[in-house]
Parts: sequence; structure tokens; C-alpha cells
Amino acid sequence: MSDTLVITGIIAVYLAVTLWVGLRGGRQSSASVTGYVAGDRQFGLLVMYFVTGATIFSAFAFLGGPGWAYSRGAAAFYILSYAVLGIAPWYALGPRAARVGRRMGFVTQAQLLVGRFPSRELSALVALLSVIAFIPYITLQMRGAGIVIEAVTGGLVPLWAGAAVAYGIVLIYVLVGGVAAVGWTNTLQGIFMLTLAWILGIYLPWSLHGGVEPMFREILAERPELLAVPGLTGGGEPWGWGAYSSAILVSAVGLCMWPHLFMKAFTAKDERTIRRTVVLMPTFTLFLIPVFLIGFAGVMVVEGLDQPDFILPHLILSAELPILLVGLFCAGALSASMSTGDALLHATASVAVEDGIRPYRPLSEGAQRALMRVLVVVSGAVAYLFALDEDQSLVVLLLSSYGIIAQLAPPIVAALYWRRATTAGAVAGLVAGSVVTLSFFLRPELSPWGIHEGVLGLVVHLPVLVGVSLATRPQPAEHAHRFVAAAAGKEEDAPAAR
Amino acid sequence: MKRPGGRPPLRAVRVGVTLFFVLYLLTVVWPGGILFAGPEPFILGLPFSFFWPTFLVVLGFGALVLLYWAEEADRGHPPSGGTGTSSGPGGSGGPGVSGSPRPVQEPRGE
Repeated sequence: MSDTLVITGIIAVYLAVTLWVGLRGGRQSSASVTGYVAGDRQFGLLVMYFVTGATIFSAFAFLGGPGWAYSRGAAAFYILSYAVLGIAPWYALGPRAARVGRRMGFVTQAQLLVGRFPSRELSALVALLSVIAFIPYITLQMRGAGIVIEAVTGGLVPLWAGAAVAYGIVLIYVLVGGVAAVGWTNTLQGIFMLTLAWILGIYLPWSLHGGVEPMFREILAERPELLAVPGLTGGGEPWGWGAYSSAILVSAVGLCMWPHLFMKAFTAKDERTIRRTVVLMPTFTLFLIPVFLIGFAGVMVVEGLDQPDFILPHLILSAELPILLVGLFCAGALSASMSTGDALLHATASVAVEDGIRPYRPLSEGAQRALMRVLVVVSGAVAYLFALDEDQSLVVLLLSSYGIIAQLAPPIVAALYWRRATTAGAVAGLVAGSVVTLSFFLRPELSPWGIHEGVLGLVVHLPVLVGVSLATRPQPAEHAHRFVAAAAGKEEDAPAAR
Repeated sequence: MKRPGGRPPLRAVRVGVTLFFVLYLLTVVWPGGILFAGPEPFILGLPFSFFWPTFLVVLGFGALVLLYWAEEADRGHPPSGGTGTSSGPGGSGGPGVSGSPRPVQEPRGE
């Protein structure tokens, strides 16, 4: 019992320090909206690396990943593949977005789309879709925080309470600090996560099974179905290749389209920083190896855990490890959820205000900031309500979000590369893709071969985008050409005065 | 502005890296993925189904590093020893990975 108290104490101290760092960091950002949203465009590579990695690496990876490894086996491997396949396109897309962003003063993804495809409705639609996709992502982070705290306190602080405490703190420093605060807290938290994951990922298989290979030999002997791709469903049935393959596809297509990642193109110091971040991203993916190993370590050892997402803290806490290490690791897992959660809350509010409201109703800078703060609280509350629903898989929550987010890829790519794309085509494609995605999301049994609804959405989206674009009048040549040329870094025409 | 010399042209590297990622995708989704789906043989202690996607992550990192260096060299920045950060797990090593001889270049301040 005293162990529980010590670890709880470590978590409490960690939360307090995080809050302090977040509040301190916040004072450095400028008061303007640009400062709040884009961090004054002065982020160096170091902060960029940890911010990007920490915001991508979240409760999904730290808790959901091992949860899938434990309960669904090889199904978890889809995450390894989509992480790299999804970031590679950013090598080309990121710098393009950054160039037009710098030239035309974009701070959000929707502004880029509207810059190419002028339409308030498009902006509002993108804002709506982004917010819809963000909510499950925030929800899973909140559940992740609640899981860690419930596990650490041995059930004394139940999931709903732990999530509320952790996210109460997140709300405070997001409301006060903005993007600069996010950068500093993520740097701190990123270091925690990255250091401890490997240590425990090697130690646990060794202590529970005598090594990584012996562990897998045991699993192969007793439960071989866990080690063959595509692994199992949540219910223990064999998972299908259609579902597995489409999970990789939809997640890879959607990865760079997350507004909070996409927006980083507008805050990077230069294009080289973006490219370097892409190159380094696979190193973050490799951190999934030890956490998957932890999940597999639980397979022969932990019987019928009620919710597989608890496997990582469960194993860490039941192993005979130095309390400090356990406490710091749990703080790291908590930080993984909080660091992504704070960026998501911030992005949700920014997108809703900048892209959903401002195109329709001009607001003073003070009013914008106030409205953003209100929306941070509102979206947090909505996500929290969803977080109260038990029996949700963290991975499934994110996979659901990806169906919507992936629909942003065709218009973004068209905006940056295809001169013949038209506003009508972009809007029609986006609407068609989203409707199809939503339909199959609500009726998954209708999907052939279990293919993810987002892929089915894209299958409809692309022809509609292309067909409607070709069927409608081309955009004014100067406009489309200048935009695509600016993206490509070619100075064809002088930019028009704004 | 291209430099003459024994270095593969940037365009070839870009095409090669793109092809690599296409192949990558084909070996992890259906139907190609079936060939890499079984647990045996064990490599480095991991079942093959785990080893293969892991190995692809390392290869993907290598491909991106190669692309980055090719682009930097094309812009006239000689590749320095790594990107200035300590190499994490799976790092592909320092300069000389591509192996081809380079003409003497003026040092560039960073």
C-alpha cells in the first residue's frame, strides 16, 4: 500500500511540475492571435522534434498499442507500418504548405484550402470535419490519463476522476499559455517517455519470461494466432486482411492531414526543419517496439484483463521494480496523453474559431482569443462526456477519427499540385467522401471485406473531386498557377497585394 | 544547379525512394502482406511478423536520410556528420553511407 502512495505522490509531483512549466512557458508568447495560434513562428529543430514526436506519441501508442498487442497480437503491427508510410509524404507536402503559408500568411490548414479554393463553406466544412475527428482523439487521451491514474492508485481514483484531474490541469495551462506552453511541456514530457520506454520494454520480457525470444516462443506454442498478421479482433476472432490493410491505408493517408500536425508547417523556422523532422520521425516509431513487447509480455501472464488498455500500467505496477522508475514511467505514460491532449484541445478551438466562425463574422483579436478559450473548455467537456463510456478501445477510437481526417488529403494535395482542380470539385469531393465515410461508420456490416469506412470514402471522394473539377470551369489561370508555383517554390509571378 | 561527380542525381534518388515506399506498402497490405505474415522464422528474437514491419521502419528511416542528404548535396550543402542530433535507435550511421566519392567542397557555415 505504501508503494501505491509513493507512486501516487510521484504522479502528483509530476502533474504539479507540468502545470508550473506550462504556466511559465506561456508568459513568453505574444498576446496577438498569431502568437497564440502560431507561436510567433520561432520554433527550432529541438523543440519541433519533441513537440512533433510527443504530440504524435500519445495514449494511443503507450496504452492502446500494448493493449492491442496483448489482446489482438499481430493486429497491432499495422501501427508500425502506417506511422512511417504516413509521414513520408510530408517530406514533399510539408515544405509546400510552408511556402504558401509564408507567402500568404496562413496559420491554419483550412486557410490554405480556401486560399486556393475560395469558399466560406469549404472553410466551415473543414472546420466541422476537423472538430468531429478531434473529439474521439481527445477522448482517447482523457481515457488514457484516467487509466494510468486508476491503475496507479489501485482503483482508488477511478478513471473518470483521474481523467478530470489530469485534464483540469491541461485546461488551465492551455487557457493561459497557448502554443508556447505546449512546446515547453512537450519537450519535458517527451524526454521522459523516450528514455523510459526502452528500459522497461526490455526488462519486463526478461523478468517475466527470461527474454524476448523465449517469450515469443511461449506465445507461439500456446497462442500462435496472436503472432500471425493480421491477428485478432477485439472479440478474439481472426481479423481480416481487408480491415488490417485498410487500417494502414486510411491512417497513412490521414496522418499528415491532422490539423495540429499540418499547422506545424506554418510554425517551422524553415523548410529544412520540416524535412529533418520527417527524416527523424521513424526513430519515434521504433519506440513502439518496447511498448509492444510489454503488451506481449502480458499475454501468458495476465488472464482476462477487463480492459486490455490497462495492460501496460498493470504490468509495470505488478513487476518488482524500483518505485521511482515505476512512478516516472507512469508519469511518462500520463504525459503522453496530456501532451497530445493539450495540442488537440488547442487545435480544435483554433480551427473552430479561425476556420468555422471568423469567415462568417469578423471578430476583434480580444474576442477571438476569448472565444478560443471558451471552445477549448467546450470541446474538452464534450470529449470528456464521451470518455465516460466504458469498454472503448483507445486504438479503435483513433481509427474512427482517421476516416474523417483522411478526407482532407485529396483537397490538400489538389490545392498544392493540381492546377485544374476547382472549388466545386474540392467541395463536392469532400462532401461525398465524408458522407460515404459517415454512412459506413454507422453501418460497418455493409462494408465489403471489412474495409475501413475512410478508404471507402476516399474511393468515392477521388473520382468526385476529379470529375467535378473537370466538369466545372477552370479557376482563373493566374490564381491557380500562382498558388501551385508558390507551393513549388518557383517565383513565376509577383504575388498580388493582399 | 547540379554538380558533376560520382553522386547519383537527385531525381534518381527521389524516384528510388518513392519506389521504395510503394514496395513497402505492398509488403504490408493484402495481398503482398501474406508473404510476410507468419511468425517464423524468428529474427533477432522477434517472430518474423513482428520483425518485418520493424525492419521496414529502419529501412524507411534510411531511405529518408538518403533523400535528405541527396537534396542537401544538390543544394550545395555538403552533408555533415548526421543531422546534429545524437543517433537514436535504428540510426543509419554517419557520412559515407552512400559511399560514392565526393569532390572537394568549400566549407559552408551553418
